[in-house]
Amino acid sequence: MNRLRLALAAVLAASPVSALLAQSQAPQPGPRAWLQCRACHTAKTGEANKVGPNLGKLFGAKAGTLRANYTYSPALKASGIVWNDKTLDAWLANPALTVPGTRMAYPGLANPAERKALIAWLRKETR
Amino acid sequence: MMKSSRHDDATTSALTRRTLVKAGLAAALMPGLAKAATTRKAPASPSAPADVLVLGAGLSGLNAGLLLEEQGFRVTVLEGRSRVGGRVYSLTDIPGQPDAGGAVIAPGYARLLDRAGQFGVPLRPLASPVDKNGPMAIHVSGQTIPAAQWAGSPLNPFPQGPLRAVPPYAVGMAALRTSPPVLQSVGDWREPAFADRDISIADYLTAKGWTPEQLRLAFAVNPGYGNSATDLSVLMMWHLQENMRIMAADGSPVVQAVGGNARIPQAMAAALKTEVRFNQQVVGVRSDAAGVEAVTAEGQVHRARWLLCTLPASTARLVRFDPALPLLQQTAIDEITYNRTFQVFFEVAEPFWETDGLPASMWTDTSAGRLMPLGALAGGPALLLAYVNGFAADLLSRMPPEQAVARVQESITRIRPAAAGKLRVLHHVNWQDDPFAGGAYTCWRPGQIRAGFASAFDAPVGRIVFAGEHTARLARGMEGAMESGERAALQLMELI
Repeated sequence: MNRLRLALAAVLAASPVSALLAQSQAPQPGPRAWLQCRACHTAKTGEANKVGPNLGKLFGAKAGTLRANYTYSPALKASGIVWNDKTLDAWLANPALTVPGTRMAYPGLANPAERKALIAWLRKETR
Repeated sequence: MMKSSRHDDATTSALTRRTLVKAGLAAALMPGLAKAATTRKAPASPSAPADVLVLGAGLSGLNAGLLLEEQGFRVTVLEGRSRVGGRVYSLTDIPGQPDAGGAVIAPGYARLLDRAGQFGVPLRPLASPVDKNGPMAIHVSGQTIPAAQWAGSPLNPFPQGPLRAVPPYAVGMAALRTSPPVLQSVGDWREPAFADRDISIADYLTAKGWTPEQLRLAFAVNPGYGNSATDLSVLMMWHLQENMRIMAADGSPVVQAVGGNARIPQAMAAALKTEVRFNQQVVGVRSDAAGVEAVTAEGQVHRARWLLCTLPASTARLVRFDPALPLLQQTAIDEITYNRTFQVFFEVAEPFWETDGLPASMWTDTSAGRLMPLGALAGGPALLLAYVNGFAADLLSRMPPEQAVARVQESITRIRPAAAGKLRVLHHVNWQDDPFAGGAYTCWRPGQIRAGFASAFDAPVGRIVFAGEHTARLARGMEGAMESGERAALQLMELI
């Protein structure tokens, strides 16, 4: 039985069926939350800006200073925010409340667990 | 699930994911079969039931379809027309390929711009041509007034003050601007805290001393939204104001896809793994615990586990849902109003504005609506668009098309005799009588946001998820459609 399972696993790993099986799984919370961000942002250092700025080396940076070739809103530039887990959590919960006058077209991610997952994902991707 | 005589995409609703996986396993053990099963391309085979049936191949349905397919879900998109794009419609037989719907891509239309970039659809700035005869002139009560003379005109109903210098097409929005803005976040307008602001513009501005004549000029002549100050919600207009601020982004110019904005939904549809099914006008949606069926006007039945309805409310109201939708959703579908537009595209044989010395563009209180030149102002073939809204568009919609188009043309030549004999009708577009649109774009009447019509489609109803421009929370127009498709796809990822 175990052998059969192993054999099956080997076949699955090597075949396009693994893709078929994978489809029954929705993406993990971090990557799934990112689906809402990626039309505007790129995450990895060196990628291009979109309507929103590239987020490479986000953690530890001062808000509105990260990309010299991006026009941040005056409100964000003047916010004095330094991006870390805590400031990102507040920002992602409600950007407009955190920085009135921001141009980020996002109403906020209400679920704290989803925010945590997204921030953890960002920390990894934007290194 | 009801029995039906013809099954199209799905052989049976009993074919679950488990059996699908089993079939896949069997295929894996037989390499030839595996290849056949997994490299399957469009058209959808009868043995592959979709996870999600998407009604509508407009921007919202296509964006949702792409996101779902990317995550491995099987999607079938049904479209009633024989083309994709819905109300994104480029007139490709007219020089310059003007857009008769979804004409302007603002710099903040992130999702739309992202898809254009992803699929290599080139964009170009949609700059208004500079007119040596000046900016858009105003024609009211039979008189033409250059923009610069509007502040001094006896026909200007506004008292001395900041609003008097604002042209009538901008004075409504100018009057609603407050400092700080009433809404400070793009999502606020639907919050219960603002529900008591969902009153008519007429109530709001009459209390501030506005006269009926001021309200008429600012909100009932060529209105971008609604037909009058009475049927327009002030809360909705504040939402639009905040939305416009965000969508203006860094102030970059607005753009259009080269060859027309329909190139974007066309590229999105081409990227789908399964071909869009055309001429599938869905008239019924039946669902039970196991799945969903969509029945077309011709009796074809499409099945899936979930259904994403992206039809505009004005079209969804022609669909019978079984079981019936809850009262809120059905009432919203029945009552959400859509803006009226009637457009006539003319070829200009000779630039008559060089003869009469008036600006080519003109804002009128006649059946000509707004006159806007498209393309070259001097030299080469020029196009003139008569863009009519509100009551005037309603009236034209009720007339036989030839008569309506003639009425528009007569209005132009009455205002500008130099245009006589210089205009040739190329095309007219009337979204109201289009069975797959029923109107141009959503506009909530006063009280409809408070009644929950805007947020009625946030949550699924059984196995039905909703998207479409009328369900968007942040953006409006094309970007609203994209946003709603994204939101619906994320919901479905969690549900499936």
